[in-house]
Amino acid sequence: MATTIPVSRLAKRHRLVDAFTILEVMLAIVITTGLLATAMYYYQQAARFRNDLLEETERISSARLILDRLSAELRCSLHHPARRIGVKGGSDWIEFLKTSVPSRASWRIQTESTPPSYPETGYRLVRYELLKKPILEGPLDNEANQQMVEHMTSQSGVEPGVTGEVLASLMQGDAINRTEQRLLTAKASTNNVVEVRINPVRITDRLKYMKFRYLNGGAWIDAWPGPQLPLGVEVSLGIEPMSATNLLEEYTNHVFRRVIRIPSSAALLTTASSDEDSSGTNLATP
Amino acid sequence: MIRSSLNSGRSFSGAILFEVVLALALFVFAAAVISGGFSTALKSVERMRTELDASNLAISTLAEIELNLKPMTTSPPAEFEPPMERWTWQVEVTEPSEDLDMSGGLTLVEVIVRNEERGPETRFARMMRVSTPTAAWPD
Repeated sequence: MATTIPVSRLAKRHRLVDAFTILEVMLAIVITTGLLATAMYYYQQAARFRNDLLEETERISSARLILDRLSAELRCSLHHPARRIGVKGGSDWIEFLKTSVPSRASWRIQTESTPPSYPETGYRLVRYELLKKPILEGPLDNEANQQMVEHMTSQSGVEPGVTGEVLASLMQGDAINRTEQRLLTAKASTNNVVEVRINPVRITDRLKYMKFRYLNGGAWIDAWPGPQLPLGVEVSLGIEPMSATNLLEEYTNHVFRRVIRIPSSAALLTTASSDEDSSGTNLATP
Repeated sequence: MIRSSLNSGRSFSGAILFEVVLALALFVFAAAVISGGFSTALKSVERMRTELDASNLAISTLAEIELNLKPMTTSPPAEFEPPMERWTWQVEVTEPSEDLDMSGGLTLVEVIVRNEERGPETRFARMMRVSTPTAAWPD
């Protein structure tokens, strides 16, 4: 004999089966929140990782481009004996004369209506320089410098004036600038008629370290007074700035280093040596 | 009729569970694919850096041979100085001969740079003359 269940009771049971309990809802909310948090964290990490990769790629590309360009230009460098311009430089800058095709203006056929153009030679004076900024300006790019500033700031209560002066004098690399200047004629007077201010071009701010060394004979030296050409130049580029606390001045981060030979220097030395042998005169000091 | 309604309620709950599991699986799969992509990108950047290091070392070694800082003779693999001690360099010199038609007394100098931990070797070759010892500008 079958028992009949009242309709109202059945409907109540049906509602109980269809609906979620509070526990289920809470669990669903917790799971959803966890999933969303994980997804957001993962997305943030992925975005940061992507930016880091892009920045690293740009830094490596900058290093490659600058090294290639410097190599090409230094191999074309030469010494102008009349104007006594050649290569000179320090540990973080270099200036040299290179050959280049004159600009289009010098090839133009002169007419009566157009003003005469300046006589132009194929010489360009190029300068590369590591731009530096005080450590206290802007964000600190070097962990060692950051620690040093924190350490000195904590001691500023003892000697505030001295610490401030020391910090103000400390510099760290910020960017690499390049300047290119045309030499209009070989005569110095023509170039000195009008003082032209040439603004340097910031070729990269991704690289904070640049160092040059110059080969004289078999020894590498940190400065080259010029105007004679060194036999070779060693260029070192780095991503992190040099630590101001490093008294040994050894760069401990990864460095992109390249040795560049200057072919015209060897030719000049050979010529000078043969002249010296034949005439007995001394070479000009660099 | 009522029993079938109860059954359909259970299957509806099962469908929700299946959707959640499917969504989780899709999420994990997508995360794995993206992570794999980033891993590949990281390796590419590392390879880019390694190639630049290898090029710089090879070009510098060739320049040092031209500058007589290293001998222009065939040499076995040797380690670079720190911090590049994980890299080795080797020189192979092919003397001028009639078979190779290298006129003008040019010598083919090939520099081989290796890093056993990081990928294949890099070779740079240049024709050069046997140069005289490097002179210095007087101080």
